[in-house]
Amino acid sequence: MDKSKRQFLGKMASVSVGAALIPVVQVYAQDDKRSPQMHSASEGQVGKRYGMVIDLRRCVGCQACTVACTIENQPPLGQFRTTVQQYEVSQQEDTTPPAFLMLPRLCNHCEKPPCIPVCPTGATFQRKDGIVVVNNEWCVGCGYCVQACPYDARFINHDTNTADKCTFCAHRLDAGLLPACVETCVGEARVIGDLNDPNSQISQLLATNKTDIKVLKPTANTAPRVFYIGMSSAFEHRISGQAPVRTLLTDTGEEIHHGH
Amino acid sequence: MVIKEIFTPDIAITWLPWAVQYFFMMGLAYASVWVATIHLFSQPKPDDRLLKLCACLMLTAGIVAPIALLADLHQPLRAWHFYAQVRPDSWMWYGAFLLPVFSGTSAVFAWLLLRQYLPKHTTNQDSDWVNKIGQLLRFGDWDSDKFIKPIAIITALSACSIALYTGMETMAIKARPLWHTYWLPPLMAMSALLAACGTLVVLNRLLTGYQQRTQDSLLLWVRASFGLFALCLIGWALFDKGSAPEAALLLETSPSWQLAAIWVLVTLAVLALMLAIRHLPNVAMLIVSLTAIHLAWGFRWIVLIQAQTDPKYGAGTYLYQLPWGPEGLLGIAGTFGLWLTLMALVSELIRHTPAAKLAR
Repeated sequence: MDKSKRQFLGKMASVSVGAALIPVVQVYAQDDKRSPQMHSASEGQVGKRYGMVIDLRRCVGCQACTVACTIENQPPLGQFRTTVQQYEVSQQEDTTPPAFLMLPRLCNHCEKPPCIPVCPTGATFQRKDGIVVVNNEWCVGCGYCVQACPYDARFINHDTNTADKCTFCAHRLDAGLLPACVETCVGEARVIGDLNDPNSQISQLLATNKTDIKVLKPTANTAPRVFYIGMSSAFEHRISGQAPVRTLLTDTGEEIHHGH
Repeated sequence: MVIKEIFTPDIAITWLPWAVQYFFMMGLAYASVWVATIHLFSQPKPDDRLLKLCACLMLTAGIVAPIALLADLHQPLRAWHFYAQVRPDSWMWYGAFLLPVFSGTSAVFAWLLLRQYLPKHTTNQDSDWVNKIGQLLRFGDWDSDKFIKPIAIITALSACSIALYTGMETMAIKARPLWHTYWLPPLMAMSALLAACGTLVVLNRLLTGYQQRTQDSLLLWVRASFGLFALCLIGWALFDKGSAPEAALLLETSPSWQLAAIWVLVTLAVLALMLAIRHLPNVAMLIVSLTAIHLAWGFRWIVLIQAQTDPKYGAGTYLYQLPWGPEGLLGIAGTFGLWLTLMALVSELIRHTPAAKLAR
C-alpha cells in the first residue's frame, strides 16, 4: 500500500470515529443545558400543565401508538395503557358506505381526577405539571381507583399487582423527549404540550380549532386534559351502539369464551 | 347514527370474587350483632340459644371477612400502608380503621356471650385438650355478665359503621352508575340481615341443642328482613334515577343480565310465597333459610362482579368467566371452608355445657 493511500484511510478512520462521537457529544450538550432545571419524578415540571390534543382527522388507526407504548412501558400481555378503538359509523337508511372512526384512548390526566381522592393510601397523585401517576411501591392494589376512573384508563397490572395507567411517558418528558405514542404517530395526530404556555403548539391548536374541541364524558365533571378534534358528539358519552364480538383468552392465548 | 364497535379491548374485572366473600361474611357478622343486640334489649327474658348462635356467627364470620378482604388486595402484605397517612376523602381509608374496631368489639361481644359455655377450671386430670383450651379461653371464673349490654351497644354501633362504610365505599363510585345510588347501602344492609337470619336458622339445626322457640323468633326476623329488603328493591326500581335505568338498559341488551333478573324475581317470589305460609314446617323453614342465604350472596355477586362487566364507555357487556384458582372458585370455596372450620372449632369448644343459662 503506498503512503498516500495509507494517509487517506487513516484520515477516513479518524473522521468515522469523530462521526461516531457526534451523538454522544450532543447528548451531553443537552444534559448540560437541562441540568439546572432538573426536577424530581414525583414533583413534575413546576409551572407547566401537560395536555394532549388528538386530531381524529389525522388518525389512521394503525395502532403504532399502542405498539410504541407497549414497547416503552412494557405492560403485561393483553393489558394496554393506550389503544386505538375502532368504530363503524353509518346513517340510518343511508345508501352511502359507512365511515370509520378511530378513537385513540389513554388516561385523560383530568384536572379533577376522580381516581385520586378514592385512593386509600395516596399512592396515586397528580404531579405539579398535571400528570396523574401511581407510586407502585406504595399502591396496595385495592383497585378502588380502577373502579373510580370513568374512562377505563386504569388497570391492575398483572405483573406488578398494582394500579397501572398512562403517565404521558413522564419519564421521557422529564428527559426532554416526547411520549412514545406521540413520537411514533405517523399522522402526527397526537400533540402533547404545555397548556399554560399560550405559544405552545397544543395551545395554538386548541385556539385555532376552538369550535371543534371535545373531551370524553364532559358531564362527568372530571375536566379531562386530553382533547379531541374532529369527534362527533355521539362519541362524547358512553357509546350507544352495537358491541363487537368479544373473545376471552387464557394467558396462553387460548380462546375460552366469546360473546356478542 | 348507527355505531358499531369494531375493535375495542375487553376489560377484566378488578374486584375479584374475594370481594363478594368479604361483603357476604362481613354482612353475616354485623347483622348477627344487630340481631343479638336488639334481642338483648327488647326481650325481658332473652333466648340464650339465639344469643349463642349469634355469638358463634359474629365471631367466625368476623374472622373470615377481613381475610377475604386482604386477599382481594393485590398486595396484601402492604395493608399497613392504609395507616401510614391521612386520606379523609376515601371511604376505604375510613374502613381500614373501622374494620379492626369491629373485629375487636365483635370478638369481645361474642366471647362475653359464649363465656358461660366454656368449661370451668377443674383439677380433673381426665379433661381432654379441647377442654383445657376452653378453660384457658374462659380467663378465670369471674362474673362478666354485667359487661354484656354495654359491649353490645358499642358493637352494634361499630356494626352500623361497617354497614355504612361498605355500602358507601361502593356507592361513592360515580363512574359505575349501577353502584352510584343511595339505595345501595340499605339494600346491602337488609340483604345482610336476611342472610344472617337464614344462617342462624341453619345453625340452630346443625348445632346440638335445637330450640323450636329460637326458630320461631328467627322466622319473624326472616320475614321482617325479607320485607325490608324487598321494599328497598322496589324503592330502587321505582324511584332511582341513575342506577335503575342503567340496569333496565342492560336488561334490554344482555342475556346474562336477563338471566340475573329472572333469577332475582323467581327467588323473591319463592321466598315471598313460602314466608306467607302461616305455620312453616321445619323442612320448609330450612329451604327458606338456604334460599335467603343464596339470594343475599347472589345479590352481592350481581352488584360486585357482574356490575363490573358493564362497560364505562363501550357498548354491550364485557365477558367474565369464573376462574378455577384462588382468584375464582377456589377463593370462594376456601372462604366458606375456613368459616366451616372455625364454626366446628367454636362449637367444639362450647359443647361441654350446652344448657348454661345467663345469670341476669
